Amino acid sequence: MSGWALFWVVTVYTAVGVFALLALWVTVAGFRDIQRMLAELREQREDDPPR
Amino acid sequence: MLASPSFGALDTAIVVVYLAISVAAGLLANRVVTGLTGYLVAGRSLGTALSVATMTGSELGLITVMYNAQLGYREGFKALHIGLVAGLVTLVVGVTGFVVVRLRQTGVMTIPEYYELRFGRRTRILGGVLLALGGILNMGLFLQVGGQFVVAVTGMSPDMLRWVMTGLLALVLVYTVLGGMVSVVLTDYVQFVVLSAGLVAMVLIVLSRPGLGMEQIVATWQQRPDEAFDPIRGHGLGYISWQAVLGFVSCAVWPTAVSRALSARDASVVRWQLGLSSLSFLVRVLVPGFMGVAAFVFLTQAGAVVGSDGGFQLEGVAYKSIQAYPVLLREVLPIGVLGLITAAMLAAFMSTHDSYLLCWASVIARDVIAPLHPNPTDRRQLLWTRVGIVAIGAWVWVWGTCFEPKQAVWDYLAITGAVFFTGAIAVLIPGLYWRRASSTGAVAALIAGLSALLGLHDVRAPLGLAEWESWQVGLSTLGLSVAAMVVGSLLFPDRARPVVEVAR
Repeated sequence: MSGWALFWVVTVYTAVGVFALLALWVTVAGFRDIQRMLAELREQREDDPPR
Repeated sequence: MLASPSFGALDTAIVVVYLAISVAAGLLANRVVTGLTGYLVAGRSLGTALSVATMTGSELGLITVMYNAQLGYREGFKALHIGLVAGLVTLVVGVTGFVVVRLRQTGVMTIPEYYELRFGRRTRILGGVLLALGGILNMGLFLQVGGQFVVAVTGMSPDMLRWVMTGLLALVLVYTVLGGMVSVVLTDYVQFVVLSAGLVAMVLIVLSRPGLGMEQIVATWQQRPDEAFDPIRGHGLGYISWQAVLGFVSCAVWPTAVSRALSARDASVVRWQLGLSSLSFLVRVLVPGFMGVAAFVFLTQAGAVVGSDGGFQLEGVAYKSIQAYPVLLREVLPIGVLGLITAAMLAAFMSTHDSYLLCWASVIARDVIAPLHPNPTDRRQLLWTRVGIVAIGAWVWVWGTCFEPKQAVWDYLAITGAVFFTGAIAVLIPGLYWRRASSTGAVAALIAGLSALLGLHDVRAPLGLAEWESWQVGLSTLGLSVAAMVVGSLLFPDRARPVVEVAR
């Protein structure tokens, strides 16, 4: 396998592996962020009800 | 002999359930959103993980997947360098905070709003018009390409394309109009979860198929006479430099990405958001590009007849080069998984479409109409934004039905985007970092950006410039815009520099 071919093979495997880990973290932590965002928006809505 | 079409009832059920969840999440947002800040930047309440999800959701669209797969299918492994360059540039922007952190600290909601703070109202209006023009032209092909994906992956008749386009558009319009950015963020999250699982599963399944292992794929491309691996020999440094500019634009200048930074809780979240999203910017090119590389090998083995333009004939049916990837999915993935991956791809389509609709509509409402209106209340701006979303949606449907691009989809997107971003780079960076940048220079730079339209094949050919490559036009336009900014600012300095409020 030539240098560039090997480089792309390693890059594809590494990127997919690390992205899988990132996706797991975002899935869990993102859910908590959504709960916090909705709570903040509800607070804002109570402070500033629509006219 | 191929066993197609393989899209079954289970696949259809998975897609329908996914679409229902997506729309329900969007409708939920309508119950918590109040005011313009809530509608346009989700009350600036995004945490890091949700920021990464929504950044990935909006920037990893079906159109992105399709054009990168098209490039991989046509060019081989060397096309993957685009993702590598974009990922590296995004990482540098995230670590340094270049442009985005200063922009976030000004407290603006859109880029043209910053233009007004720094250069005055006329720059904001002109910037808003050019931004909307470039952005709306840019998303003109999204719906068409999304429809082509659905038609190819399900094995529907090509006559169904218009109906598929109409259905997809209607779904996105409903939840975007009602819930604004909160709706977009919630659906982006759902879409990120489905999409990331789908992308990883797709690579594993394709690589585990007999005849499509990594060694077989590499060996097939090594037999091609043209350079398929080395991007420097295959494309040259000029083309790669253009990709670096596009990588910078994608994370730091393109309004849909910048709106995520402007929705973040604070500057620290912005840095983390971009640093972590650099991986998404890499993967959004790398995985679809690699799927295109694999699609070429699969189609060759399946006995497809490939034409010089990349179009191919398979079992008597003619396909365009952009349909190689969905045909690969249809033929390789088992029932159930195909439904999951199709749902993931529709997730990619919807998460990009909603972000773009909201972004361009908010620019028209806030940066073009509001500055010209005597009393632009929040209620009026909300109404204009919602009407704008529907109007842009209608235009995209018409454009997607009538327009047939004569160049690679990636080139079309880069050039239409350049109408806005070449001028924007030349205005934003000096505006944020050069004290002598003036409003005359800013207006000149924005107007110079219009010359990017010469990169469109349909504009170039009648002017006798058909031999110019899109990237040459793009880099020339950027150079022209920067020169216009520098010369305009030095020759016509502002009498007093406006004070830019910084909200830390």
